[in-house]
Amino acid sequence: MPLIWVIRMDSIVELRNVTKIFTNTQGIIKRKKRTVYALHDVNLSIGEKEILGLIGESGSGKTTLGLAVLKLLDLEGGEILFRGKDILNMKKKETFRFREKTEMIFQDPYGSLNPVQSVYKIISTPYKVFNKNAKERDVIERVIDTLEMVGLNPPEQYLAKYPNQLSGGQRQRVGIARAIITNPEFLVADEPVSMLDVSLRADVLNILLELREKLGSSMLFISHDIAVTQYVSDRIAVMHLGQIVEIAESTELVNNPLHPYTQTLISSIPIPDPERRWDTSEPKVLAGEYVNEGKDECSFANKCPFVMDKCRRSRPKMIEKGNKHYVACYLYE
Amino acid sequence: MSDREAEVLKILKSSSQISRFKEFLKKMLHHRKALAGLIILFSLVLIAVIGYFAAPYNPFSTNAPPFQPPTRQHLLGTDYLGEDVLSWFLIGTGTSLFVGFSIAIISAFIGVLVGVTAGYFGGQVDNVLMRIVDVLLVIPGFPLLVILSAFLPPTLETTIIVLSILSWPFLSRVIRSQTLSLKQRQYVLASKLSGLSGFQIIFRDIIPNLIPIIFINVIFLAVAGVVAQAGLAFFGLGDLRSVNWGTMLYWFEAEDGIVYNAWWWLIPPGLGIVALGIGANFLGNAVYELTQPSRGGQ
Amino acid sequence: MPEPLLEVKNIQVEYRSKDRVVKAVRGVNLRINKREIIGIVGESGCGKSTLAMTFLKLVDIPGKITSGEIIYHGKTDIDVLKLKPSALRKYRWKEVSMIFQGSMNALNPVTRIEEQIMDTMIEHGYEQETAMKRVDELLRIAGLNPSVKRSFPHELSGGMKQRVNIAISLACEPSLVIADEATTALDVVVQRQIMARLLKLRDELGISLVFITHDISLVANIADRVYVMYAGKIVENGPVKEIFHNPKHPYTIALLNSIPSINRDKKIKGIPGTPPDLSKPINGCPFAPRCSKAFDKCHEIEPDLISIGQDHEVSCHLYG
Repeated sequence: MPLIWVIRMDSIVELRNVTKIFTNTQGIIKRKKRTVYALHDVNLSIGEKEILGLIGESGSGKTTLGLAVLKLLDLEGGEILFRGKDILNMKKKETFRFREKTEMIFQDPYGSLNPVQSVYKIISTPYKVFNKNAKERDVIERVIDTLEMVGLNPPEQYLAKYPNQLSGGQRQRVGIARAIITNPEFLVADEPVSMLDVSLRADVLNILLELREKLGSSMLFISHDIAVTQYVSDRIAVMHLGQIVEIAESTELVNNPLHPYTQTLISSIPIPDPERRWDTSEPKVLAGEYVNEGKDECSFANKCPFVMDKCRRSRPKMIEKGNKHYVACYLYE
Repeated sequence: MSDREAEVLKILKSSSQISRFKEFLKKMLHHRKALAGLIILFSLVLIAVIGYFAAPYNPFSTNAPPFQPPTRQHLLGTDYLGEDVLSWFLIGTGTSLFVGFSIAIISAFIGVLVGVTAGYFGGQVDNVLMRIVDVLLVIPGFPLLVILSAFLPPTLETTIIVLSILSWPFLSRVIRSQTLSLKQRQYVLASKLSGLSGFQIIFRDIIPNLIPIIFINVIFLAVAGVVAQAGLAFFGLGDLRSVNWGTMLYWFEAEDGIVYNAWWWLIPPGLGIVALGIGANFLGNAVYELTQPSRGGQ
Repeated sequence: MPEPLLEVKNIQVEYRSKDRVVKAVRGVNLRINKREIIGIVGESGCGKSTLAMTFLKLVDIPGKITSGEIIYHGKTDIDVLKLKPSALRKYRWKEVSMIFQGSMNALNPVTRIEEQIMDTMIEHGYEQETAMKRVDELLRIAGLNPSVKRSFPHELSGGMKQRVNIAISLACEPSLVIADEATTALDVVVQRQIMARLLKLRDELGISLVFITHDISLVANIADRVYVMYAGKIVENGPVKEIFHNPKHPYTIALLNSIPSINRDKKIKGIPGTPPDLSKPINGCPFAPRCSKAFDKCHEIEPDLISIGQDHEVSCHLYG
């Protein structure tokens, strides 16, 4: 598999042939072992100052990818590089430095903050961990600056508050503040707005866009909401059952989806325009629940309305179809 | 130090744990059940303190006629030896509470240590610790105590130690399951990503969120400890020379207090145990309601 | 000429607890016509779920319907809130049924799907034999292979379980189905499939549907008329094209400007502030503190719902 399309000269994070397998045993009497390939030979790169969106439905493996890229999982295959260094074989000291430069923004505004810690404590902790000798005055300054950056004004008012005194939107901003106080180079945002009310999402999304300007950080934006992802991302990668099926610049992907799965996804998105209402036709996706068991075939074969024999004989490779638009599908070979 | 810095520091101080605790106490004082529980428990403690400093008589002095109903000199009458029941009750309350809380604190210490370690680190550590817990839980407590009292010196210390050893396993299971659930919280993951070590996470994220459960369990353990010790004393096990609720009941039974209708001798220790139970129940439930709103509390 | 099926008049619901009273619904008027799809849009805490529960008289302690009436125009006119328990049974599920949020978790885990669907029918007066025959048809209508009837809930995916709930809600042939965030937890493709099914139901069976959701884009795609709810009241309602192309209430406009859309390349803006505390009295328009167009009157007097033509109503001082 030619890696040329994946490696960008300025990539900060690279995934090469990444495979993650979960085994679980089902059944009480006849215990059947089941291997699920949450990530199946994934190749991806994220560039400097880039926001890469990762979309997929439940079971696509996108959250697993987010965890893997932050060294929170072991892999059964492949490697993940951060600035050229293999993160899975890092020693303790290197891991420590890796943690300083990478952070995560969580989905749940209610579960991502420790209820017995004040906002000040929550945000200052990562900074203090990596700057053990910092003076308290400097830490306070820094926390205040970060609070301003996420739009919590006046910042002094928030320092002494506890999570249960804040609204969902405010908590999420505290979570972002915590993630950015150490000036990370790479952020993973896992569904950062899905648990927020609709009218509060815009502000959080705009803050994330600003972060790229102000901090110069790259971001992996994971979401099941395509409209939200398109708003924030430069490029979007589409995942299905552990495989990346298409990557393109966000506007291009949404306006010109090539992979049958992407086409189904895009056509299923509700557009807030009554002129383009849905009719009673259903998306032409064959029914059935599947998991990726590691076979060398296209993960969408069982559901694809255009499936051919060769789709099941071997997995299609990623090819470029148009300007920086990559798709893995035999329909285009 | 600029004005702004001074103000910020003031704000930070106001958010400290102490002020949060004071706020929580205020909330408790407004909660009916909590207030009732606190009053009852506080009264018992007061009785114990009075007993320590100002018991009217030496409980072992026998200058009065036996089985006397309450009189001005002996407000709770006398027992079979003419000893002052009131003095016995005042001092006995202190001893009983001391025993109960000692058991609770020792059990809690071991239980939390084992529970958090097993829950957080999992794997082999978890297996080994939980097997030990299983073994201890299987041993029937009462027969063991009977047997042990044949071997060990019959002192209060022995009772406390043995009852503690029998109580901590149960607590460790509760703590372990709580720890497992807390470990899944996203803020624990956030701490990991911030570079904190396992121990730091345990002390910053896990244990502070366990405190309400620990507190509630400590209260109930204390009551159980008091009742267990009283029960043992009633059966003649443990230190019979000690002055406590259990021994009061033992002597009442052994010396046929019932024949003499000596209600003044029976009721105080019985009432003491009941009051402790009710007080602890109110307080424990109130704290549960106030700190676990998501689980069907208020 | 649209015929009314359900009329909701000035409904008010309160939640009472030891130390406070929350006014969740503060005077809502609604009309659902036959063969119509209504969308009720609002964010969390606006009272839309509570409102939905009043249609089936499901509001229970600590909630209480403190005033208003609901008239259902079936074979006869029924005053829903005055129904006695025995009459309620004939109304619920047979005339009006509901698909709840997260109801995929409300299926009985130890009973087969077939039984659960049949139970619903038998409870409402169907004969065992009739019920058994209808199961296959109901599952097909919901888009499921009838073979799933022998399965247990845990063997099905989220989407399939939700479709079972749709089947159950249709079991007793209601004229109105209320879906409260029925597709919120589902993947977008499954949501699309279920929506297509429900649209077909309106076309083929003539039932009316009420969609309660925070997803305004969803409503644009399926509803005939839309009600926008905020702080326990309807702030705007009208035909779907009017609401989306010609929104009048500042909240509706702000809401539409806060959602990203794949066919629009604009910058989106959130709404500053938070919804009001419904346990405290509200002076003036509840949206005034967050409204960029608020003036003095807005903070003092709560605006009434007024008609601005085309079956389009709005409650805002900017228009009257």
